[in-house]
Amino acid sequence: MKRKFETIIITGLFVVVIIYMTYLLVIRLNKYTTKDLNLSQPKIQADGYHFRIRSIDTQVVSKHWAGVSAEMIKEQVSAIKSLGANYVAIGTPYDEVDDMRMWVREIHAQGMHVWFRSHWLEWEGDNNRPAIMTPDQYLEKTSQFILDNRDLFAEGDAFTVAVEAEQAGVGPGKRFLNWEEYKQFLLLEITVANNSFKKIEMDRKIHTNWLSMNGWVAQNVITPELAKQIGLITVDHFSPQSDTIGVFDSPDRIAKMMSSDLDSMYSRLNVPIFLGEWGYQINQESDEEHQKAVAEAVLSKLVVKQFLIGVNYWVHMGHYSRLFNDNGGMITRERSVANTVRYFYTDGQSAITPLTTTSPSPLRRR
Amino acid sequence: MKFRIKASHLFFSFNYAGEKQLLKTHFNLSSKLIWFFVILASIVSIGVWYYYFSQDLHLAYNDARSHLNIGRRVVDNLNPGLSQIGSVWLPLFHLLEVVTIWNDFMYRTGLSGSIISMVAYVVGSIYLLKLCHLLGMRKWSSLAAVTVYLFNPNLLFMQTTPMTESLLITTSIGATFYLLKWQQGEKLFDLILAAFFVMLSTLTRYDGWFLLAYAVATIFLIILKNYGKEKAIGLSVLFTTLAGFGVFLWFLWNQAIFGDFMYFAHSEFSAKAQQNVLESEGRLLTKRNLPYSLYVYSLAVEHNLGVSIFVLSVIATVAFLLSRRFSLEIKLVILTLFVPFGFNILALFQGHSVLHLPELFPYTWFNVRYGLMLLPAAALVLGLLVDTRTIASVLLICTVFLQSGYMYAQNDIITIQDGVQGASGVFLNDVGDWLNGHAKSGLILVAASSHDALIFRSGLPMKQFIHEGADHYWRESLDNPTRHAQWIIMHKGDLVYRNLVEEQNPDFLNNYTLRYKGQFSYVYERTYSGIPLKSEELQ
Repeated sequence: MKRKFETIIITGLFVVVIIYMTYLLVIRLNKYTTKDLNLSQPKIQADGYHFRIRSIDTQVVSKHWAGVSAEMIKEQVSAIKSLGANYVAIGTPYDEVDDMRMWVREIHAQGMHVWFRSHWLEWEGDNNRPAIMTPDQYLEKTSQFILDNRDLFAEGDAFTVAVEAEQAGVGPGKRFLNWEEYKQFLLLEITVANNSFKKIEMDRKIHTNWLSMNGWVAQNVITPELAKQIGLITVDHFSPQSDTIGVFDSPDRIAKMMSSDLDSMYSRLNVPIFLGEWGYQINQESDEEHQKAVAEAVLSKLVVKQFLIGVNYWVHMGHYSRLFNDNGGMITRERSVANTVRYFYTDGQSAITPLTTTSPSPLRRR
Repeated sequence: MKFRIKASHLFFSFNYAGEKQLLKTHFNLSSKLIWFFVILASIVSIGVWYYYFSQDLHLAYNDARSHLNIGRRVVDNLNPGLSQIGSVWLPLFHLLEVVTIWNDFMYRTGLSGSIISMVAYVVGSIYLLKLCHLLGMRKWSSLAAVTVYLFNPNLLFMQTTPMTESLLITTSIGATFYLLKWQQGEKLFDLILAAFFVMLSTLTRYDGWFLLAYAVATIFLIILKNYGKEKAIGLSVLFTTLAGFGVFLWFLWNQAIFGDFMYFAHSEFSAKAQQNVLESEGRLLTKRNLPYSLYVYSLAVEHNLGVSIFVLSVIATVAFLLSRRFSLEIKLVILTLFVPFGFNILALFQGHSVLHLPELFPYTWFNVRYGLMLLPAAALVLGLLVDTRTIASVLLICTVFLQSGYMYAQNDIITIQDGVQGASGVFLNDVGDWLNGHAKSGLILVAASSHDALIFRSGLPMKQFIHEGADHYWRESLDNPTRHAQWIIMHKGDLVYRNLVEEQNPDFLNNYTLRYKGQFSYVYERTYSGIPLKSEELQ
């Protein structure tokens, strides 16, 4: 009798555990079903310039610098506007909404659009926070963020749910088990953002498909079908720049590689490409003339590419690739490269240094 | 009372007064069955190794690469020889590596070390099966217990890496098996074999030293209960002499090579030195906090076993302890498998060890694999829980596969997370890759104690590195780096940094140029420029 009782208890215990584990497993395996995708996007309006998106990235300052005052932001945004930009990319983490609001108000006040291009601190473990947020938690929290902060958004802005999501890690032991999960996550990023914007009555007013990814991912992971679903590929790509201090590559070599890499992406994916990050030099300090020469060589190659709908120069300040020198956050002067960017972001009329390109001005197609 | 050990205390045959519990086996452990498990475990082991090898994860731990380098330095070094075995990590794993590590393929693929872990995994499964058999468990419950062990995702990962956990687990199971065999049959040869396995444990990880103490105490108590104090002391001395021989040799080695019996315990490379740094950063929260130590270690076990196996194991352990099926003596022997529980909690409490979990401050992963040490204990008590009930054994096997499947699907294999996201795998690849492309010639001065993973990653011959084990090259380079070193790699606070930067060494400051800034370390090249390095060029 006692033995029977024990058997029932032990067997019952295992049955309960098995049912529970089966339930968890089924839930997990159905986690990334994407039946109800909402991938619709507003049009990127042609405004007469070749690059429809002429963006300057402020990541180093807007994400990493503490105590940036409203006065500094105003000055920096004005300087960016003077380059002909129509978008300003901000990297302020979604956790720091008050800081973000300062940037957003100023950018909107100066008539430009905001490209929200960041993530949550616990995604990659920024600012010594633990990198423990799961993709599910990420999407849920971002959806709530949009609903809670209606005042941040204006028509024409772009909102990237998770910039370079692959940086959170793909593979065993990392955030995404495999690339399939990552690809599903990309579609969910757009869907979740679109659904949230719809709820705050901004349906199809915000670009949510500018999903920054690195060049390797664009070349090796994204399929033409997925690219078509997303609508465009936003690639953060720097063809190799010398990381040996004191050694620099020739401008022509870098320009050729950038051009060839983007051509190759387009020929494979066959959707518009947006260069979501590019700048020079990213590994070490280079002299101004060399920096400018590289930027000229690269942008000259890029500006004639019909498939390239925009460029986001990385970054405006606080890094080797900067456009502006500063002293404690206040701009001291423009570097030579800023003029090159201005030339390609406007129509060249205000450029001080004429470019040596032989083709008729490809910059403006009014 | 004067006590003398007599031969009769050592070589005696037990003569129990009818109280001793003799276990009856319930199935025939044929060589066919053993070979079946050898083949099954080998296939699983090789298959999983290949998977993680293809994912480039088998060397994710910095320590895995260090274990390979230590073995390699014995045969490939500016100053080769056995002294390269070092003083901090115990030597067995590295000595076993030496057999194959001279071969470039075996070294570069990590197979020299992985094979040890893989063989240990297979052998461990066989000893667990034999232990179940000896305990009188039925075929299905024995099979279920071995399944718990064989298909644990964390052990499956750890057995692919050149780390010492798999070897320690196996030596512990072997020691437990022979202790039980001795307890049952009272054959001295079994006690010697138990001592041999304990000795292997003591030469694998310091956990083994605790195992030694527990085994000696268990043997003493068992003999004391049945034969009195004199025989208990005699046999315990015999056992300790054999099982503790490795510990004795280790003390001797430290004295002979480093001039200090306790060098391993308090040198600047010791775990204690590491823990002191963590304590100064407020990250040694388990120290002097017993409940928290208990909590942290239990949580680590839960992560390693999976929640369902963990919960069932706790129930099974309680059932085992309360059960009247086994005598106290047998229970004491089986509890040998639970020694890691006591050891780890004590080590955490004393501040000799550190274990970080992602849900607890400082919200990262470090040494989470320590929780895996209780896997054999969990497997055995779960087997006992379902023993005599075939249906329950089958359900346990189903639970194991569901739990493992869930852990894989959820990407929740914590020993991998530790290697790829946690502190056990701090990223040194960038500098290693840069060196490979730029430092093909010239000697490289680097503190291996901080950069072993980088040295491995660079793919450069070990002979090219001037490190702590490079004798006069190392000593001379810390005074006059230009004498030997074309390249210098350093990280703030490491031995090279302390000697060259903190000591403001002019030979370094005036003759080297910063060439690469890595995530963790900087690389300098000898240029004889005469231009002093600027402060921003020093970390």
